[in-house]
Parts: sequence; structure tokens; C-alpha cells
Amino acid sequence: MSTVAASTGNIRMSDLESSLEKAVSEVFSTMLNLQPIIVPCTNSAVLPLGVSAIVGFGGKLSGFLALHMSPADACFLASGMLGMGFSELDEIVSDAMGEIVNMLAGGLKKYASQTEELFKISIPSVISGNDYSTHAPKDSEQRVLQIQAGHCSIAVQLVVEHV
Amino acid sequence: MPIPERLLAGIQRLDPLPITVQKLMAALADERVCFRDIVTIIEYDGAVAANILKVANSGAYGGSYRTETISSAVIRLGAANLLNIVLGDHLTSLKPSAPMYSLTENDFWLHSAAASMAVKAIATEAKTQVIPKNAQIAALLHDIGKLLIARYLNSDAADVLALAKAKKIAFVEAERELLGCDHTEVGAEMARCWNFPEDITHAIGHHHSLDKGNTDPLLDVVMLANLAAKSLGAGLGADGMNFPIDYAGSRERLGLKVEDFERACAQACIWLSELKTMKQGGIKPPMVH
Repeated sequence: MSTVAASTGNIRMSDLESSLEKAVSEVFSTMLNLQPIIVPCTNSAVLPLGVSAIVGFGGKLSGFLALHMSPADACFLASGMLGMGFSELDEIVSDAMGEIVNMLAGGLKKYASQTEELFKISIPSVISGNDYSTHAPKDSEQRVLQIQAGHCSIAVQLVVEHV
Repeated sequence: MPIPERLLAGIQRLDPLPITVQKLMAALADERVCFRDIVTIIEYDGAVAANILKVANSGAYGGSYRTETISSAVIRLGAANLLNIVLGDHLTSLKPSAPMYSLTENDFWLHSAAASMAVKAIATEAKTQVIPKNAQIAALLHDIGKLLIARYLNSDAADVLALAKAKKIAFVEAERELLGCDHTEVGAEMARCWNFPEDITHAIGHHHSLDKGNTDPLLDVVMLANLAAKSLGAGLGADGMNFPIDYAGSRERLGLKVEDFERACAQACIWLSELKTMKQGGIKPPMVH
């Protein structure tokens, strides 16, 4: 069983993954009006790139949560969220992606922190471009969820550092 | 059954919705409208703008950081929530009470807000059915007809209840027999008068209909949301639990198991509690235009 050490004891990665799945379902259905199909995938899965919205967290548990997708999928999600069409990746779409990853991190925190606050969340960052890659720290645990929503294919990457 | 003249006249005399609500409704239904237009509508109404910022930074929506601009608050809340919040505040500012239905101002608001929260919770649990975007607004407004009936018809809930008991019929049927109409028909007429979209009007007008062949997910979710709100004891009113509902049918059509619906009720209860806390925290109602 895979666990990560928090300052208050071991936390099972499977519990974090399950909390993340709940957060994804909640955010996609209530904020984006989409029913997501969530598929856990291998850690070596190729992440869709073009737009990455990332939020860090730290406290009893440290790491980051990232949402990776193509620019077209980012526009689709922003359209669902804001009720209007977007055809190109602009400041509004980027802000919307930052808000989605922020809500996902908030949901993860809510579902994972049963008796105590596990972490605090940073301000989200959004990266876009054609040529970049993401790397998780060597000594960390990672889970990737593949999300199919409408015609979108999005990856949610959770990386938790070993304390 | 036609709506009595006195009520129809009352509907004709209804105050229009605040200009901000009207503009938002029109803008959100217009594909040509851009994000900046939505932000401008909010920015031009100081009270609504202040409230939007407050809600965006509240526990229910607040993220890891405060949002200081209307633009980022609108992004955080999303389009559907935006109209729901502005409408909900307008409803509160009207200080609605329906003594005929044993509903105080707070009861009416509580029931409407609980139903709206229940839609959001059901959307999280409905695994196979996308909940239509207008469902929260329809749930918020589903009982609006009660306000007009209470205002224009001199009747007593006790008479309606007595008739329902004597004839072993639902409260809404007793309403029809005694008053010549029921609150769903009147609510739908009010929604039409206010130019709400047809799916919202239909759900308000049919939320007590027992149509086993219903194919409208918005109506199903509003019926279940009403049941959830009543089950939580939120604004039970005189009719209490005496209303018709095809619970299993609506639930199954939305792909919900019994335990999914129960979880949705529990989640709605938590969100409602957060909303009550925020309301007690002194959110000022917007100005009535």
C-alpha cells in the first residue's frame, strides 16, 4: 500500500486519490455542467500539454495539483464555466483554468482533511505554450487522473512530497 | 383551470425584475455577449457588485486567495451561479412571506435556497445525466406563486388542509378546488411575465405534476430538490410533506440510487448551513430598482 508521510502520520495515496476523484466530480458537475468520466492512469502517462494550471500546497502535506489540457479543451471548459463561447486562449480562459485548479485543490483539501487541516493552498499559476515539460520531484508520489468530459481529455496530476 | 381574474390582474401589476437581473438574463442567453459585457452589467450596480465580491470570497466559493475584482469574482462563481445569486438576493430583498401557507419571510427564503442548493448537490451525484444549467434558478423560484396567492386571495391554510384531509387529496389539489388555481400555475404565469426561459417556466408550472413519462431532466431535478428541501425541514410550511411526487421515477431518470439522493440531501444541508452563516454575517441585500 502506497503512503506518504505527513507530519502527523502516514496518509494513504489511495485516500488522497479518492478525495481528488470526489473533488473532480463536484467541480465538473456543479461549476462546468459536465459529467466527467474519471480514469486513473499510470504515472508514466503522457500528459496533454498546451495549458497547465498548477496550484501548490503546503503544511502537514506538501506538493502540487496540476490540470493539463490542450488550448481547445481549456476554451471548452471556460465556455462551460462562464456560459459563453471562447475560441482562443486569452486572459479570461487562463484565469478560469486557474480557478478550476484552485477549486479542485479546495475540494481535495475538504475531502482529505477529515479531522485536521492537511495543507494550505497557494495562488494558482497558469502556463501555456508549445514546448514545455513538467517534472515531479524525485522523492515524491504521483497520481494522474485522466478525465473525459464532453469531447475534452484532461489530466489531473497530484504530486505529494515525502516529508 | 383558468387563473382567477384577481390573480391575473396581480400578475400584470407585478414589479419588473431589477434591471441588473433583466440584463444578466438577456446577456447570458445571448451567444454574442462577451465576458466583458457580463462584468460591466455587474460593475454598474454597486450593491450587486459588492454582494458578488462577498459571495465569491465566502466559505462556499472562496478559494485560497481573495478575489478583489468583479472580473475574477465572476470567473470564480461561474455564469449559472451568478444569476442564481443575484436572483436569490432580489428574492430576499422583497422580504417575501406567505402567511396563508404558514411561511414567514425566513421560511420562504430558506426553502427556496435549500432547493437551489439541493440541485447543486444532486448534480454532483447524478452520474449519467447532466443537470440543465437553469435548474438551480428554477428550484430557487419554484414556489414563487405562493407569494402572489397569499397576497391577493383571502384564504386560510387551515381550510386548504381541512379539504385535503377530508377528500384525502394532496395540498396542491385542495388549493385548486378551493382557490380555483394552485401555486404552480400562478408561479409559471409570473415567470412568463418576467420573461424567464421556457424550461424554467415549465418546471415551476409542473413541479407537482405526476407525469410518469416526464422526459425533462430539469423538471425531475426541481421535483427532487423540493423533496430534499422539505426533507431537511427547510420552510416546510402548511403543506408540509403533503405533495405528489414520483420520487423513484424522477430519481431513476436522473441516474440516482437511493443512497445518492440521501448523500445529496446531506450535502445540501451542509451548504445551506454555510449559506445561513454567511447570511447572518451581514450580507446586505441589493437595492430594489
